[in-house]
Amino acid sequence: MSAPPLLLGAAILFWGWQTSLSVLAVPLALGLEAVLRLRLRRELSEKDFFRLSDACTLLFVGLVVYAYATRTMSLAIISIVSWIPLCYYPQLLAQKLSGRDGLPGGAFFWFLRRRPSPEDPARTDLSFPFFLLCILSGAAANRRTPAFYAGMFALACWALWSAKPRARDLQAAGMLILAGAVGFAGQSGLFRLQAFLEREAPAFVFGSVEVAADPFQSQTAIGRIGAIKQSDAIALRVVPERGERPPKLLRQASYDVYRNTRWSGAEAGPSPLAGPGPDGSWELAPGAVETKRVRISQFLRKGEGLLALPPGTWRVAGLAAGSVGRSRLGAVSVQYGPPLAAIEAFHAPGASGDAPATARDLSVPPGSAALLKGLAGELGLDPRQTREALDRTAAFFQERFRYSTFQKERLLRADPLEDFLLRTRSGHCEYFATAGTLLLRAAGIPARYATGYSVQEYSRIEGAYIARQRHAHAWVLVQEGGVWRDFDPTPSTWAQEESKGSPWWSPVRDFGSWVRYRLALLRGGGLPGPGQVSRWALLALLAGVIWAARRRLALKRNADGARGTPRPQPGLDSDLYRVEAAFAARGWGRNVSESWGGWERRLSQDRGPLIGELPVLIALHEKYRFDPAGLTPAERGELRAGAERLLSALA
Amino acid sequence: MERLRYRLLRANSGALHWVRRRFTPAGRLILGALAASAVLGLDTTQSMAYQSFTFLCALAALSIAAALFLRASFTVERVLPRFGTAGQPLPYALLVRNTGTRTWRGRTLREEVADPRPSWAEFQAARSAEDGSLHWMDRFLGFSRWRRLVRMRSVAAVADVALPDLPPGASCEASAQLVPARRGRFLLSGVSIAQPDPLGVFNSVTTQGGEQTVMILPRRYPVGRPTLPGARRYQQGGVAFASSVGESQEFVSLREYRPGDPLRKIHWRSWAKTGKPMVRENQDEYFVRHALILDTFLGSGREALFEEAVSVAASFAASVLTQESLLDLLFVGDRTFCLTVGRGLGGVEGMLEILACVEPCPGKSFSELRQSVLLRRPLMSGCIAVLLGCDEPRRELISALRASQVPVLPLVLVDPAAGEAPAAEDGSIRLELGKVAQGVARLP
Repeated sequence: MSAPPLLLGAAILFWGWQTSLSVLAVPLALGLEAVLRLRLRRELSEKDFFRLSDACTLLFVGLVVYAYATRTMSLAIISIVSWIPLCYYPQLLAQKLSGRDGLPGGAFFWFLRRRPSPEDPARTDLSFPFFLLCILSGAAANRRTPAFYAGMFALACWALWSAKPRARDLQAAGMLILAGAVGFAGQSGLFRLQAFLEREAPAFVFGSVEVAADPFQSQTAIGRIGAIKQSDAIALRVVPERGERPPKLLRQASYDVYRNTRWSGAEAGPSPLAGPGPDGSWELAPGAVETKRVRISQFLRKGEGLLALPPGTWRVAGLAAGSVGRSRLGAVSVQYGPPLAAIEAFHAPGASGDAPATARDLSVPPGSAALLKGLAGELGLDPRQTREALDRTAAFFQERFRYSTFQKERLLRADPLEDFLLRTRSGHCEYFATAGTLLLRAAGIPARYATGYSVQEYSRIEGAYIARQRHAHAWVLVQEGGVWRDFDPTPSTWAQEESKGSPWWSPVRDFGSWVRYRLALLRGGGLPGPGQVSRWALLALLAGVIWAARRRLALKRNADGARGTPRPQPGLDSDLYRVEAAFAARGWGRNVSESWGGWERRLSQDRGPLIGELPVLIALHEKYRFDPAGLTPAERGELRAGAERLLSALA
Repeated sequence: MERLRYRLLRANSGALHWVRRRFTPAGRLILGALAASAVLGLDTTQSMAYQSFTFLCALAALSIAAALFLRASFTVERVLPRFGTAGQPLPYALLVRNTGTRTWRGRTLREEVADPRPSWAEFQAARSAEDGSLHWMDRFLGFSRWRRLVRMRSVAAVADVALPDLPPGASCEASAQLVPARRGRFLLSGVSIAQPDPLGVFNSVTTQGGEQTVMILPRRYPVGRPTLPGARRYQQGGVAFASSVGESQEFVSLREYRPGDPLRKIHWRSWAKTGKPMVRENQDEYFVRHALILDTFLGSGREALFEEAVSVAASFAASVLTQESLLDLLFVGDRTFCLTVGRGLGGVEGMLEILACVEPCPGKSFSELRQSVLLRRPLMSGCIAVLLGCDEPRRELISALRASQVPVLPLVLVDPAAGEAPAAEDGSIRLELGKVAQGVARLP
């Protein structure tokens, strides 16, 4: 099974087109097709193939390192897959140049090199695997146009048609068209299926309390039954100024509307901030005098996300992002940012620019209003004495409620919040934050629901405070004296409860997390990023490998100008052929498959006197043809002279 | 764990066999691409590989569906010789008849061979026979053991035969060639007719039974006409062979029966005449009787050495002239075997057939063979010993035979790759693995 003409070149061009590496693909395709069309040949030994294979492996490793050093993990994987054809192109070219059917097994597996034996499996032809590699690598480039499917389909049809059995052309064509149509419908369905699952699956799978990464809404786990499992992974690293304590709470978002266990932010769209400044700084609010600084590092998925910031943050520095926005409710969102945002937050009490309270910050759900107002009255919460109201609320939750990440079954048709306040009196932070917010609102104190992280653990490995996923927290923002302040009604035992589920391998994972963090810091620290420059770097790398391989392979051009037969065949100019032709002209030619010896014996029986010194000439000829040492000049002269003598005798 | 490993290896081997049998090379490439695109296209938003995946899925499904309509109806008759020789291609013919209603185009004939996968007991036994030379990873995975056992059980291979276009009702003679890799009984379990679907991705395979076996005799090397040393020896009790020659079965006299005389010696006519049981007395028999000793005791991973030993033994068995002498083949299998040929008793084919089936004997010690040989020492004129080593027990056997004035030709198979010395100081002749043919050709 061999690839039809031009197929491999077309596949390389397709790959280049999809990966935007046409500048590489065109010369590669032309080079390969030139070798195939012009039948260029080089003599390559097994060892040459092994060396070339090693060079290609090095190239691959180099690409992996380069991709990992310059890209995020997911992008690095996609880049590596996109570039794989570059790594194996030299091997394919070498196979075609050598004129052989494939590469020896040792080119792929080291252990086969050590055990060369006649039982070695047949050579592996790289043509079709390389063809498939080009298509898959093109797919990894993720150019989301219909052209990919069309190109892939056309190339696949071309390849399959060349390899199919000779009969049943009509059926084969019908099957290809049908497969193309079904495949197209299938890919569309598969894409929609994934979108559907991504949209709907979280509703079915009850997982962790995910603190909002969305400034518009936060779906709480209020009312869910069972245990809440939280990840132990490190989400934030916080380094305060020397001698300072880190902020207890880092807020990502706040919300002002509660409906059916969901908090949302009205008019919470981010407004773009001006900037960045020369040090990557973004001004969130007017500056303050008594400013503290804290360094916070957090990973941003695809360079996007909400920053977790201490209360009163008015400036963020060291953030090289394309766009940073701030919502009315204080959420700071990043777009086109680095994978790791290692920022410096400047904060001062009361400095943040959260929007003043509105009527929404005093609204309670109509269904729970009576209960909440009754409870507020019972506690004696007075909106004029906010501090005292907060103390009483805190004491209420601290004394009468219990923190728990497990919910037993609740009463049917009962409001989960009502169930929490009256019956279970146990829940996780979202219950407390929601109940606290609504209770304060019922008492006439403006309050908002805030989400973010609680900072409470110091890591010796990191040399910094860390916040894990399970430290994701919800609390209340209360307006006190015109300033929004944090108020956390959750009983203080919650951190101990959360840490109970910490797995035994947590330190190992922490170490891995630290390594990843350090590498990410390195990557963000001045290494070149992906761009146009990488293409030329790849080209230079590939050229270097081919040049190095060429030198090591010690290529030998054929004596006949590098065209035609793959291996030189000595002795083809032997004078015995002329003798044979002369005998054949007289009807005594050598039969097909008849050995020279057999011919000579037959002639000696029929034409004894004529053969003369033919046996001597045959011996010299066979030495000339098959002895690696060949003939000495004297023997060569003897062969020529003997042939002349015999020819003249025949004449 | 061991059982799980066996099952995994067995399932993997079966799955690979099914894929190779059912999918064409193009189909196998498509399967590989399907797997790669499934991994790469897992997230449909991250790459376009999911589009390749759905297309390849559709292609494979259509090909499989199309192949369902291509089943063949046929009869087949195999003309197979009884014997073959390891390493020698064995051509034979198959008469195929298309009994269906459609003309065959592009069909291929395949011989179905017996399942070469080892049984659980064999797999386990091979583990216990493994020595410490194996890498721990090899021992843990068991893959090399599995591969070795499969290779040992794969006696021969038969290449697929392309059939000519065959209209309904027509028949043709297909020439197949069996290539025996090693000696043993080779079972052909059936015949299949395969045809790929129109795209050449998936094979429709129709199989018919028709079990037949062929005995693959051991590989043999030219050893010339070995001149074995030794004189005739007295054979107690003589030999009751049909075509005895020379001094054997020479009648001397009649005498009265004495308790202990064998019944076959009774002369019935004289008994009838005299009314008393009479027996014949024959002259004592002296003739040449050689022994061919085959060592079957070897460590694991040295099967190649054993195969060569069997080949050497077979070469001698086939070359020693047995018209005038006897040849005893001695080896230990599940018990001790002694097969005698010569002077009309049995034939060399019988001995080669036995050698074709002889297996290594991992569970016993060399002393069993030694005992058996030494018991037969008085009958032996000479002895060829094909040994798998030259350790103390083996050297002792040779010394004991020599001490009994039995000329011995000790041939020791050695593996230079395993660090075994190619030259001997104990008078034995070393045959190097890979150069055995040259070694036996140089024998005096």
